[in-house]
Amino acid sequence: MCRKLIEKVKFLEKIIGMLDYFSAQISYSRQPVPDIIKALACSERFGTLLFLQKCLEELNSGQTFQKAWCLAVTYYKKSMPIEDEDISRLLALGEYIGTTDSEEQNKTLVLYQKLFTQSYEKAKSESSSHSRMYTTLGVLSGLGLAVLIL
Amino acid sequence: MEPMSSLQRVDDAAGLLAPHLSRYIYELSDDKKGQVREIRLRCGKPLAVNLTDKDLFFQQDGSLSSICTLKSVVVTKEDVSECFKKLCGYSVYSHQNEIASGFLTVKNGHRAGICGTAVIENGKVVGLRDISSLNIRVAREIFGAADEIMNRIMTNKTSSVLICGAPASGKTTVLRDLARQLSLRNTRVAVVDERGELAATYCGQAGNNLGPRCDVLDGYPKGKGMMIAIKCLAPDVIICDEIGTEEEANAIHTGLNCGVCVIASAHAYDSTELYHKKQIMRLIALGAFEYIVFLKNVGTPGRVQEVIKAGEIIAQGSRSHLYRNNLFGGRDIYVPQAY
Repeated sequence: MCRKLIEKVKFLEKIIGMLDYFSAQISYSRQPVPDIIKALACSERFGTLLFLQKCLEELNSGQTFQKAWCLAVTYYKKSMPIEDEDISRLLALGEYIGTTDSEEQNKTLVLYQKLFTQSYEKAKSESSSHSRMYTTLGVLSGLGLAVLIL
Repeated sequence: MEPMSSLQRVDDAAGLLAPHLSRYIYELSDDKKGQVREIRLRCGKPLAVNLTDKDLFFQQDGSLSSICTLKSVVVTKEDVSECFKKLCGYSVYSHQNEIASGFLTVKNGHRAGICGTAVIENGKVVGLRDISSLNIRVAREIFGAADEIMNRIMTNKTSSVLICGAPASGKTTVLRDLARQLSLRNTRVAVVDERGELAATYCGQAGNNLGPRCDVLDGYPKGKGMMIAIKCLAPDVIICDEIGTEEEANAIHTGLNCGVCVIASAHAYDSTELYHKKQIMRLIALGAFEYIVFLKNVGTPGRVQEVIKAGEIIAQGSRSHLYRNNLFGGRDIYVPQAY
């Protein structure tokens, strides 16, 4: 349980980082979406977000970006350590990316970053309280066992 | 990148359409496919291609007809929308300035004219919505398109030339071949490729062959690009497409003072139309161009109708009341003169 929470925190951290990367590329170099996806999928930091690799494969096979993103997120949603609400947000994000000018794109990305950051903060808080709980339980179990043996 | 044949270029442009539309173009005979200049999509209207000089509509059996029939292949709003997204590379923000200007240049140099509902802000077109039609002009690289100009004008030295012609007369095709031929002739060439049509640069690599001594400033506004080229690239010649603004004229004037030749193009069917272009006539009067070349408007791109020395244009123009008014800031009214 504690491990799942830790994975959730790490996953959300990467999603927030991914959105940050998108925002930077759109603001400064206006790099096209397929190129951003390729750079993310090939990077060491975000390469573990497997849906990006799948999205890139679908794009290379001639799929439209919106379909490629949707297929990729749907394909990997069962293995994503995040809530259904966050998965829906990820799916919805694919409908917006690349469809407006840079100013609106950045506003949308900032909004999604805030939403995912809320989930991240919540997951982090749960993870830390659960880990304290499990640590305490572990110590108490150890003490109890020691008392029994004695 | 290996050069593409003209048939491959048509197929490449057709790949921008939805699959159920592009197949009609893929299945054209080589003879007809080689003549395709433009592919036109209009919401609710038949899919059309321009072959040399005529617009033809696709029928459902794959044949072409000059009239619309009940069996014509109709383009839907979704088809236009999907094509537009592909043209943008699913990244509207990457092309927002071009879209506001009504066109997009895509990989391999194809250019798409976009028609829709303008989004206006403070009196300026800032975007488009509800795209209603697309005109995809197939990019062509024709080696030898500039042979006539090279043989007539540039046998011994590189000269500053203004290439004039009507739309689709082959001005861009000629400029491309001029860049290549000059570059092969030990001349340092700088191409200011504002719309990406000359070099068809994609991910930093030119899709068209502009020769080994050519530097490409891709996407730069022409005026700024020329100034950067003059200051930083030490070119022997600068090539750019479709000049006309004051900034571009000032940049050419600066190049003139630095001893750089300029080869440019302008929309002008003939010398009478050229006289209406105030900035261009100013440049001609200042000696920015040695020769003015008028292209033929039909047939193979690059066919020269007329080559006039700049001095002759000035002399012809001085007999025209319109020219005098243009040069000295008077009203643009043509008053026929008796010679």
